[in-house]
Amino acid sequence: MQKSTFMYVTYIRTTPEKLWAALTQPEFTRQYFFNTTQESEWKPGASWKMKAPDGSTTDGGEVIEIDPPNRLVLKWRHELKPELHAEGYSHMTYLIEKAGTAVKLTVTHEMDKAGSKLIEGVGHGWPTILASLKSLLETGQPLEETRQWKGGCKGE
Amino acid sequence: MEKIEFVYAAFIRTTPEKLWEALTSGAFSERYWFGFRFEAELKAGGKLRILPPKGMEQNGDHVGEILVCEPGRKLVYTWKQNDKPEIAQKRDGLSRVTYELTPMGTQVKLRLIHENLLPEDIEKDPNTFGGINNGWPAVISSLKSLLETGEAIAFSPACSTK
Repeated sequence: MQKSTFMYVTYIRTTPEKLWAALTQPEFTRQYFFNTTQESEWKPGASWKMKAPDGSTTDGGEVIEIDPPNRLVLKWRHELKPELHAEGYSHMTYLIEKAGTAVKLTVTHEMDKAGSKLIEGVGHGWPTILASLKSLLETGQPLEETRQWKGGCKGE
Repeated sequence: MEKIEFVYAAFIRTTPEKLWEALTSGAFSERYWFGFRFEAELKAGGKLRILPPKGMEQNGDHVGEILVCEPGRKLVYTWKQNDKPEIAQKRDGLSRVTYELTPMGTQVKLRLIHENLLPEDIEKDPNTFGGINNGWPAVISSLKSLLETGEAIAFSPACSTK
């Protein structure tokens, strides 16, 4: 089957536990993920939502696989822009592995569809978000440019 | 022939001048690039070498040429892999690395493009630093740490992520 895939690897000087918390807890995501939060009971089958600061749901889906602090797989659909919503569900995986004094984070976001606009869009967003996450964990300060909600543009 | 490229973007809290220096100075590169030393005559047509550290001489040194040199903005250079003969004969010219630096407020976007690659340059096993696709994210992550915290990432010397 034709697929659209975005994959990004970054190494962060932290522990898997701290990285897991930063990826899932609102007090962290607000700082580096455009002031959004993620709501879920964080167990297999639980619903998952990403919320903009005004409370609107930007993306939603469910938890497919969860193994803290090693692996998270989400079913992920965009909710705000009609053309992206119409593409349906993508899959997003966080893989967290120890690498010496650092942690290797691999983000894979894919959709069973060639030329997906969602995957193209997140391909611009993820590098800025993950760079800011790395800065937050290593220096205590996220990057300035990813602190505020920008109306769903995710840095494009 | 199938043309393959590797593209990566990083956002670093620094200035274009500091990022340029870190990308082009051997003293910096030794700290974030697995000990490899980047030595280049920084002008179009200038020669370039990326020398391995002690103990990794089997990796050889990469020789190449600077194609474009716009300090603080853009560097393009050729990169000669240390190929086995059966791979060398498949090459259609050297591969090419581009760094593009774009200031964005308090950060700089570094866009890296490594193009004119062969399928053999891409390593399918993710648990190694071998392969263009595994090597660059580690090097650039370490560069970002060095510029933002003063300390590069200490990867295990065995060239493995395990």
